[in-house]
Amino acid sequence: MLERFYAQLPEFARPDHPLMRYALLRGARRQDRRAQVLRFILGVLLTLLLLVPGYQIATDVGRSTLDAANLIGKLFLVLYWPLVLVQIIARIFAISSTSGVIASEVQHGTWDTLKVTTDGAQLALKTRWAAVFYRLRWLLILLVAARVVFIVGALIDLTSFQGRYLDLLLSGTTPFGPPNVSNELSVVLGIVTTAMMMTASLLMPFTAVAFDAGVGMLLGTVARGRLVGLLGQVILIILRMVVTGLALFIGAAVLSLGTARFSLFAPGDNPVGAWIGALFGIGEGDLGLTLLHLPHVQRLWADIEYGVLVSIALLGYALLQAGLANLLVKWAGRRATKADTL
Amino acid sequence: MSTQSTRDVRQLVAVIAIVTAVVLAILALGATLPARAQPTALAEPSTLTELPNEVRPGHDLPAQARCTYPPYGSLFIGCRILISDHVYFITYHLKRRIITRTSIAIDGETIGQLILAWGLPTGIRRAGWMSEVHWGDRSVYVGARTFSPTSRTAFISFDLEPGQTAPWTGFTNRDG
Repeated sequence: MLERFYAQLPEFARPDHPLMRYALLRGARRQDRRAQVLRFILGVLLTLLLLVPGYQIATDVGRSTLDAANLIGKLFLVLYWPLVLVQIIARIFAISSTSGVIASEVQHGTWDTLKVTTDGAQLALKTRWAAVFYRLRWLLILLVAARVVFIVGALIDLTSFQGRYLDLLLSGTTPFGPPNVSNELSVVLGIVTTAMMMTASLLMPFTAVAFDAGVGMLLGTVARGRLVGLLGQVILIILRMVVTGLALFIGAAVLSLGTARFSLFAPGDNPVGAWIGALFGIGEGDLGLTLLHLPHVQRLWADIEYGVLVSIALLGYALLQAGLANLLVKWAGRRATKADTL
Repeated sequence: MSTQSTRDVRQLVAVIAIVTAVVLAILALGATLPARAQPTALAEPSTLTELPNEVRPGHDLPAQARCTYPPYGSLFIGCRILISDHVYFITYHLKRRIITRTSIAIDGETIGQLILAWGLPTGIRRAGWMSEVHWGDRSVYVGARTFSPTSRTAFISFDLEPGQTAPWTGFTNRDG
């Protein structure tokens, strides 16, 4: 099964590719069995520890109950912030693990060997970019597993009201809800939109990590010196945290999920601003996690004019991220080769 | 084999996206269609449609109604009356001498059930956690932190004439 999946990947991204094996071997920490068990236990304990602040935030420090109709909905509310934190950690790791690639190869004395082989430098960068996914595999598995559980929850929710929950979510909304379109067409459009929205939500942890790893890689080709590289890396990580924080803040304000309000993104005052704010908030803030909780989807669809289209645009956003990541890595490869020939 | 090895990352992501979207659409269809095929139980919920003649808007105040004194200068007076084990809350116009609104507590039907039974609402009035969903001269009161199809309804009201409402734009929760 896994072999068949690997066969679909580009050659440089397969685990049996010599450069990939080298990259993974060098990145792996040498640990005995006891240390591995200890690391696993520590990971589980940390995850459990994250649930406490998750529950506290979801219940407003015990002042309110979990505002969800079923168990998976309650689970979503408790796990939301811990998962967002894990996503931020994954993105920061992606930036930091690729930004020092050239410096690291130079330090190990392998850069000269790579650049004299055909496409050696480019291939090395591509491989190190793809290796990020192997290194982050447990975090990505955790993120996707949680999202799959929430999708199951959302599908169960769709069966309520005798399978007419989607009709209710769309009723009165623009442009897919009655009376704007007929009931039958509304349901079909609703199912297609829901499928696209859930797809975006499943893809986004991967495309966001790919994009950030690509940005880190490009930085590595710009700032090759040890000190300048470190400074660039720190600036990039701070920038990433600011963008994510701002997106979470704006996303919550647009969907009226917190107390913060911005007139620039208020659906009543500025519908265009609200639409863009929602896309930015969901796309850059929680990477589409919000869209797996139907009460939040309902806010997006009903509170914002043409909010339904944000769900579709998010898939475009994810694909754009993937395309840009690909472009960034290619660009970084070209820059690395060009700089060496100078 | 050669096409696989030269496959671009963008192509791979596009293929994964299309396959995932199709699978999820089939799952969503599978989740909703069988439930929709079942015989509907969305008939009119009990006690929600018919008012006793004597408390209908437009009628004079029944003699058995117990009223509270209104503030000085007020045009309306609030009254209540017990008919067949149901308490009706009445708003009476003192000058016109007619009932303008009659309300009755209802047994927790969800707003989603009512929309499926009565069709698309004609309007909505919102203030904080309160939502009043209108179907012409009939409206239901919902008090919920998050206004959603599963929100329980508390009261149904019958007005003399439809009130001023915002158009129905779905289960909105927006503040601004």
